[in-house]
Amino acid sequence: MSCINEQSYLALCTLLSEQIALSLPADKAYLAEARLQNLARLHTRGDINALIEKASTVACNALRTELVEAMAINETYFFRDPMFSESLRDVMLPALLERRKKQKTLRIWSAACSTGQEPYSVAMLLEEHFPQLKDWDIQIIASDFSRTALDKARTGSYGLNEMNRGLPARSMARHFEQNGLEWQIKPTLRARVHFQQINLVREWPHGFPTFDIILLRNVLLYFSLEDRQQLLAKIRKQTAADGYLLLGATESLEKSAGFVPAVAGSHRPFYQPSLKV
Amino acid sequence: MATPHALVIDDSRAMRLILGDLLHQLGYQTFEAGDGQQAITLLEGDANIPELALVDWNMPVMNGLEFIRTVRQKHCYTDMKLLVVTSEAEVGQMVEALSAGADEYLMKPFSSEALACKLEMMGLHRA
Repeated sequence: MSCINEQSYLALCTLLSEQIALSLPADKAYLAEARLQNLARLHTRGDINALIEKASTVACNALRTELVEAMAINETYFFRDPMFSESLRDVMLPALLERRKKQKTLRIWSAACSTGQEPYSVAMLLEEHFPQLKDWDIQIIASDFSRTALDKARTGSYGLNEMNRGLPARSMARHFEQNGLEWQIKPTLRARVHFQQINLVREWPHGFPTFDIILLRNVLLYFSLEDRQQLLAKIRKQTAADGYLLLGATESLEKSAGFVPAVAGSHRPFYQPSLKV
Repeated sequence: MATPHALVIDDSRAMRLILGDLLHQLGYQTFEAGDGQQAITLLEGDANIPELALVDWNMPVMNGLEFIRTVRQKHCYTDMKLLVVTSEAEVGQMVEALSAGADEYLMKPFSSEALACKLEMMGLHRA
């Protein structure tokens, strides 16, 4: 395996920052070597420095996309951390059910859904705990910058390792069909999640609606302060005035972000837009 | 805090060792049985009821499903969490185990992280 040199690593960091706002620390060159090995073998005879140089040239859009996807962090699993279910089931959804009982609509956005476990977990949770929503107009939009991750998400098919992580056996038995060595989400549940390709640091689709709940979990921790502030300002505009923003279990927001904790004095990572922007 | 106890029930000695090792890393003290009947005998001879039992499905003498049905009929074991750890991956079997009284289901092969994740989901202790 070729070693990445300092110049190439800097070029890679710049590329990732520009493309997906991924802020790669200076000491993670070994990670880049491990993740880009296969791609380098395919395109530049195993030479990682040549791969980065090639992907950085204007003409190589497709290769650049492949490189960025190879470096992206796709860590996700069903019902990731208990906070996820608890905050949705016990706080956000009961409150929104009450506030939206006349219009009977609910819009949820999983903003960096990777391979789909998060939005499908939301769909399962709604079906298991809120049967009264059956005649509501529920929209679950799930987005990611990675086309590869979205292709997998759309199939709703998962292997043994993915099924063993976080998914309660009762949910598995209820919502999945076995298909050889894979398990696939049943079509009715799969149809409730709409996937679309959105790069959070690029322009968002025209007419993109506001949402009652936005899940932006374990994303901001990979962003620089500047990118983080820019993204939060956009997220703030996309959140309904009485809606919620849910972050990862270990994440929190600074006061200037335009959001306040949904439960005063709570350390739980979900927020509501502050009255003043 | 007292060390939590876990019972590992599997007819494979190698599997018992692996599971025991993983549970030790998660802060458990373990004891083991090679089939469901041995496990019942162990439980009846010990005043300390473990907080957790890891139960294989296919075992001689008394299989995992029979073990689950047996202990779930006895009130003294109501609080003992039962995690089925098996290579049986049919959804029908999973439903059968859950209906019999299993709390969770983990399919072999699995990672140490998946086991820890299951225990957390079951509201159990993690080191």
